[in-house]
Amino acid sequence: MSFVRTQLRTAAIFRGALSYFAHNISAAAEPAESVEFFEKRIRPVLSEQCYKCHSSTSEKLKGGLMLDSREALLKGGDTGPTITPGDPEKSLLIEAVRWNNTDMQMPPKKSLAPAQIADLGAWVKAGAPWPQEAGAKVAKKAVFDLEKRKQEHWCWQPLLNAPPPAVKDAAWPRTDADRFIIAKLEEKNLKPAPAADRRTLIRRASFDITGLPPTPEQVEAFVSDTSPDAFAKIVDALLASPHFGERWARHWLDLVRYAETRGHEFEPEIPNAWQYRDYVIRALNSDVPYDRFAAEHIAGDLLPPRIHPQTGANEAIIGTGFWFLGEEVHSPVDIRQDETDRMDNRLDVMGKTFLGVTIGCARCHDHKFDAISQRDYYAMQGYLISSGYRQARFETIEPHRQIAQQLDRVRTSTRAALLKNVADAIEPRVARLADALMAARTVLRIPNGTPPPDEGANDSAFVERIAAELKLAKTDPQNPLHAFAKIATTENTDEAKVFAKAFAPVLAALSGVALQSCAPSDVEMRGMAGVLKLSPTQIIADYTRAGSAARRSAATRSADDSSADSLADKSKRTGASRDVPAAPMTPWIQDGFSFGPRPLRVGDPLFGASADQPLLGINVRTAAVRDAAWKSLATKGVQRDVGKLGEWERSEQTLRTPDVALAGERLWYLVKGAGRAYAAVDSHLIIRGPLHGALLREWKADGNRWQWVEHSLKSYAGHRLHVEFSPADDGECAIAMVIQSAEKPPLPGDASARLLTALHGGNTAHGSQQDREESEPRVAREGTDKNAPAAGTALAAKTDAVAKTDPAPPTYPQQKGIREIRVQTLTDPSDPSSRTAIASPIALAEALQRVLLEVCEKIRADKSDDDAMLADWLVRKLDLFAPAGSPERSQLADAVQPLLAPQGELTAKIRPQSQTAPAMFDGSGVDEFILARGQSKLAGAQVPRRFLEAISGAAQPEIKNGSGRLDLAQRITDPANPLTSRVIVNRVWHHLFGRGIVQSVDNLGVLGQPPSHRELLDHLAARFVKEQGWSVKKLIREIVLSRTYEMSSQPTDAAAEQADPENLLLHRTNLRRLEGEAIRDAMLAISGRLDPKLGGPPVPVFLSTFMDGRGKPSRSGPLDGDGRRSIYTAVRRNFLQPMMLAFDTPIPFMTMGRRNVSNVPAQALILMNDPFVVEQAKLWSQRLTANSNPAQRVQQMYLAAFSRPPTPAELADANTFLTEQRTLYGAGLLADEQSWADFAHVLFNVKEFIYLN
Amino acid sequence: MHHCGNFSPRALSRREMLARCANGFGAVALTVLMAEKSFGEVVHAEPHNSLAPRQPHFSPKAKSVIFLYMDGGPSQVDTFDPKPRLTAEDGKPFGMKMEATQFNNNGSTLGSPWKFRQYGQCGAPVSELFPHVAECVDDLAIVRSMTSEFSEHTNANYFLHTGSGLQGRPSMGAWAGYGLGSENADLPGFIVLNGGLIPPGGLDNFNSGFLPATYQGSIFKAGANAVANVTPTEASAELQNHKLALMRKLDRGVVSRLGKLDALESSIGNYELAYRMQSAVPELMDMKGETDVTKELYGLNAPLPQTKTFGAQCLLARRLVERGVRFIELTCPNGAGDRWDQHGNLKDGHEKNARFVDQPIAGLLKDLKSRGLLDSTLVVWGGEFGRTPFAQGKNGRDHNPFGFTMWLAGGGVKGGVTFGATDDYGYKAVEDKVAIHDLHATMLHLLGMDHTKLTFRFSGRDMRLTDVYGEVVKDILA
Repeated sequence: MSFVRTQLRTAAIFRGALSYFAHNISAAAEPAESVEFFEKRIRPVLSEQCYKCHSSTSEKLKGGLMLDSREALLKGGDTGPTITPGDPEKSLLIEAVRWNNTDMQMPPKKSLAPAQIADLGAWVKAGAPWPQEAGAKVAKKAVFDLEKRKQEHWCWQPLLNAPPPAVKDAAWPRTDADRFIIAKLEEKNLKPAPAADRRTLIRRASFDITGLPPTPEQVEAFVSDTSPDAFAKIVDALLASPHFGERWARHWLDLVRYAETRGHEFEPEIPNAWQYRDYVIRALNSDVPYDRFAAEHIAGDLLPPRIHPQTGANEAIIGTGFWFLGEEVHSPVDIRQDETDRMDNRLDVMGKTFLGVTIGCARCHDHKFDAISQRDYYAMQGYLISSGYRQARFETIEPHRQIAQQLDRVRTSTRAALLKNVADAIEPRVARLADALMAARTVLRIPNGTPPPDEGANDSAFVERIAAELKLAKTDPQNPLHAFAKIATTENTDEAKVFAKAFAPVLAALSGVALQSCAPSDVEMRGMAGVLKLSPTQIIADYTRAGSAARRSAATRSADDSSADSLADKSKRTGASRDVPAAPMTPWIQDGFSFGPRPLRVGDPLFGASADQPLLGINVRTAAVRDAAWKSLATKGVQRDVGKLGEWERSEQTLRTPDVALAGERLWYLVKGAGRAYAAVDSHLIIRGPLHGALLREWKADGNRWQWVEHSLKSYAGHRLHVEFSPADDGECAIAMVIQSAEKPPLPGDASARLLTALHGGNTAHGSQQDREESEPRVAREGTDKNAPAAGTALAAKTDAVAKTDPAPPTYPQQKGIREIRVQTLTDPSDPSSRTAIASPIALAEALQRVLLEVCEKIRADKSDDDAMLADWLVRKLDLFAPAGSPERSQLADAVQPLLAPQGELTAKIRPQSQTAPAMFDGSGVDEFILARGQSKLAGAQVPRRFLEAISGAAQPEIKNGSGRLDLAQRITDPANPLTSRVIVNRVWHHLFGRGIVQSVDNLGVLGQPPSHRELLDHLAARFVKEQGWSVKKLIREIVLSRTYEMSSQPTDAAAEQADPENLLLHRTNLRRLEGEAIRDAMLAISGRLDPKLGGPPVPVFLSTFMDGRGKPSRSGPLDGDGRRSIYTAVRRNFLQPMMLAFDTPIPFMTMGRRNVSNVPAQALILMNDPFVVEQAKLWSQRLTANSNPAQRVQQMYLAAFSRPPTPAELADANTFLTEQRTLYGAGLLADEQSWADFAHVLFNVKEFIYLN
Repeated sequence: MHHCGNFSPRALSRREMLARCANGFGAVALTVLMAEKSFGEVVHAEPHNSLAPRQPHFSPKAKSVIFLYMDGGPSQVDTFDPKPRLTAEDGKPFGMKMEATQFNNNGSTLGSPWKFRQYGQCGAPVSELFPHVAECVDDLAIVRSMTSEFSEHTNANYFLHTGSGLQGRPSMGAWAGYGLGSENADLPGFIVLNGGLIPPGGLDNFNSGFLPATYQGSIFKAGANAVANVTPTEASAELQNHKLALMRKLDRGVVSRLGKLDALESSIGNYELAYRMQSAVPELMDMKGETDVTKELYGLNAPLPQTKTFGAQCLLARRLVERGVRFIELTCPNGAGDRWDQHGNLKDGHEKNARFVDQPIAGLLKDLKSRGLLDSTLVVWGGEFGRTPFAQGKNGRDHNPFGFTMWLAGGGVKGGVTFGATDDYGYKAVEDKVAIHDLHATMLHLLGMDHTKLTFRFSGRDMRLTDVYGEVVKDILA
């Protein structure tokens, strides 16, 4: 919007500038073409104002742009050519100096004088003449040569297939990895360190694999186990422990910037983010192959589901939650720039996590170092903007998919019988309708409830119900009995002349209603859009064309369903699609199954659930119609998104339109029933705060009528959006179309002119094809009719203004035109039958009876599509025509009972409740634009979605359906892609040795570190893929059981320390500080407080008095986090746990595969003075009171804390300390307890506790 | 009952203890810390994370920074950037194109409810809101052409603090510590004095982002327990000293068992610093030594409790400067509606906010000056953006990142200067625009650092506070 305004304003100013310039020219008599003009008025400005940054002499050239020659100007910089000679309006130079575009103002600090701006404009207008001069310089942009970069950097190369090297000390290596390690050491004449002792080893493996210390019993058992596979048994047990998943999930969460709130101002929750955390834990524990795990992250919503064996939940879909764990903003003023920031974070995290390359660096320009182009960046961004957000009911979505498919089959097979039975039940009374109407008329005409005289009807109850119905019908023109009701109470209508006089206006009024409609088959063939003559760009979704969905789901459709082919036949016959370009079919995108497997056709029955009401109606307009079977869905007890959007019940009941650019300011929804719409503009999600409330629209039902609902989206013009619909209540909810239009479109008919035609002359054939075909050309001709309302034209004009790009301006058929033609026909005096056929109330009643009986027949034959509105009315009036207690109703119930039973069994299996998790909701495919300098307002060309060129080449097949993430997942996990396997293998190595083979674990690119052992890395990666089947557990097992892992960390070999001071060659193991989580978990484990429960909602974070700010949780969590492992403490972005922050748990905003290891006083202060630590020390000491022998107690404590017994000196120190401390406390039992607690506290503070040697 | 001289509980006073630790074991620790590599290098096994003082790139003008953060965004046209045209056109339709705002509920032109008067030798106009600060104008460089890139508090706060509108980057205080270390071995290098309000975006405004945790801002609260976990839980110092003595002894054993490794020794040294902080912080917070005159100067006897709060913070800031703390940030006190964020009731809200901070800030400037500290202390005043010259609703102002005022004083800044200008309405900066990155570049420059060379490799890039932007505003340098 602002962009448009800017341009408009630019134009205005430019006109001002021109006049100024014209004035100036005449005054100075100096044509802009002249060299003198250039030298006097242009070159000095360029030189003084621009050359500091944009010249061959600039210290630092900005934006790749030079302005010191005409060629340079024409070539331009990063944002393209600077001038279009002759056209200042198309020249970036002029736009920039005018300072109207806040994203491009030059010179940046202060605007030029108006005269200078005018001069530059005039100069460009004159063709930007520049005197010939030698040595004109054009900025040489370093050519970005992707192929060259790919060739020159190791990470893009295929995995080396180096055989394990020969080594001198053949006895040392146990695994091939060992050979690679010792070979490098031998090159330097170094020896590997001796193996660590068993106590060190079990402590190391236990923390590495489970993040917890071994128990004293485990330590002692291992120490005394003499079997050759003693360590292997330990390692296998550790890998089988559920704590393995917790430990390694925490590593993984660092990569995906895991948090449970969106941060920013009020940090709303990321609802149910913890489900993702638990998913990771489960996946690691069940050793889901890494390629599958990665693919689930990218496209778990599109993959064949991975079903949880116990719960039946779809695990795979939860993986996609990782995309949504980033920061989100509630009221961004620049909503599109905010989107690009969000998407940037997602792409960046994905690139580093899975590929170990910094794709994010190519956002503003081609990557400065790596083989990643800006085109790559935006090609991949397309996957993300094509993929929306939802809270997925992952527990029920797969079971429900089965139910939905079976339900469709069952209904297809029972449909005919149900329709027949309903028709049978209705028909007897429909056959007596004329008499009943006449009798009811009498009732209505007799005041004060005098009993009805019998006028042929022998069913007084029916007459009473009809009378009641007539009262309703009198004010409802949609009711088939309306005409009768209107004249039924009019005096003296028996006499033909008088009747005709009374009937004519009713008929005329009625014709206005009925003639809104066009034949439904027309709509079905061309879509409503064709009927309304909307231009394709106006249509966002058109569910009135069932064709595509019909074709798509052809496999599940039965033969008697009218197929797409037969539709095409009809279309050929009528030639209906001749003059209107066919709009593309709207893809059927749904979360869940609430809107059925496809749009519902005209004439399709609306299935009920009970034998009492087997059908709810007949569908009158092809549309997306909510299936009542799913109305019980309600997710309770799960976290929800903030604001109204979160309150809406949307999971498994959302219909999504494709994405479009909003041309104007409003959308129109053609709907029936109550519903809700969320317009996802630029994928903006958080709707709370001053802006963006307009993205939500909710409406009430207008009875059983269709309506156009307006969704005003002022200030979002030009933005990309799609709409997500969900029902608002238990009732009906149907969506036929979503269009863009400045004004309310006319309401297209939803049934037929059938009744009217019938009333007109007893012609029982419905409005003939010929009639319809003819009416349209006539409408076109009548377009200039003076009587035609102006609204249509005005609307057309405004719509035209909005949708400027439309090749053909849309015009709506002029409804009143049709009406007049028809009314004229109906009352044609030259057609005597039209007057004589219905000349009395009884004739009218009989006509109604005749028509409705025929409709009954059609219902019975499942052919009511052309009479759907009447059929719908009849079916909905079951209580009128087959009242409760009547034999017909009883027969109906008996007959449908067995038919409904299978459907009932299926719907009974529908589970209203489900847990939900953040997940992707695949949309229509959208390609992103290349944004110069990463600025959303500097959009260039669109780039088709594709994976990195350096991996998959420039020519990748076009993505035809949806986002294409499935394809992306396949490319990422393709064994031929050398990045994915290297990255994960390197990460595992990093966690087991404290340093990766490539130290910069998230960046294998040029700015990362080179691998210390490339052959080893490639060997491990290749083996991981081919022989270990991407099994992370197998990989860990093999590494942990190697000689290399076993080595001692003690620096004892002076020569080795000298030759390899940073231990890059791994001549020994690295001493490592434990992570904050492991320190805290170890305290809990040792104190006995650890609750080993797996998974579940986060434990609220304990709030110290220093934790304050917006979004502060209403209550503090427990000091000890309920004794749960640290991974279960709530991760609120603005309220992170101080202890974790102090010990370098990353702030969750970007991939952090390698944590800092800092050394801050806060760490010491926490261990010394934090009440949590003090409390755990106390618990620990209390736990040991059963052991009354102090020396044994000290021994136990050492075993627990350090996996070793104390030395005699340490034991003596402990005794001295305990004695002295007791004295200070004043002796006694309490003093003893306190002293032991103090001793425990000291042990927590000894460095051995927080280091892994 | 001596275990070890270093932690002798009775023989030494705290002060003596401090001295001994500093010269004894503490010195060892510091040496270890100082031996680490200088900043700007690529990742190493143990990332550089010490607070030991480091050489700047060139001779610094300022040793410390006090950032007076005016949370919410004070209005430029009501404080330091008078616009007669606003008064003339008050109530009339606004004369320029309005950009989208946070609430998009824009009204007519709104003249300032406050009068301006010229002050000092430089004659800079200041509104009635800041009568005390006005007395110091000859020490201020008033920058009227600040711009930001965000209209939302949180983005703008992160941008102001970290140079990026998104969460998770290091705060400027963290960068200062990373670049220069700390002159004080007993206190953190970056201290946030929490006056009651934590800005939108929360504590992450003060975090160290991808820099090591060493550099994160420490929150100091008013009162006895100013810093988290700085107060021992033991009933007596002896009890704690006993524990520390045993710990020290056992740690020596650990070193002999596991080997002399840098990481271990740094970690041991860390306890010395923590131990010293336990005494340094109470000593710092103890205002007994301050005279009544000083307290009066800072507004500690002012009628409003918030003025007292902020006055105490300003006084504490001076004490921190005296102790060599590198970067001190003050947040505003609570109690004036919603910080400086007057979307409505501009008059009432701005008046209260100004009364909370005016006298304390002037007191700080005067006190620093009289003690000869102002020359080496850079004081920066401002919010994350300014406010619209047109009304939001009837009597409020919405956010305006297109042109607003901040001022700098001391630490190598030229006094009595007004730099840059907004248009006639005070809406957008039109002359000598100063971006937030330029402000950062200037601040680092005054601290002796070239902002383009203060880098930390993360995420495949050499990251900077100023991203790829920033120019030192040379015209305001002394």
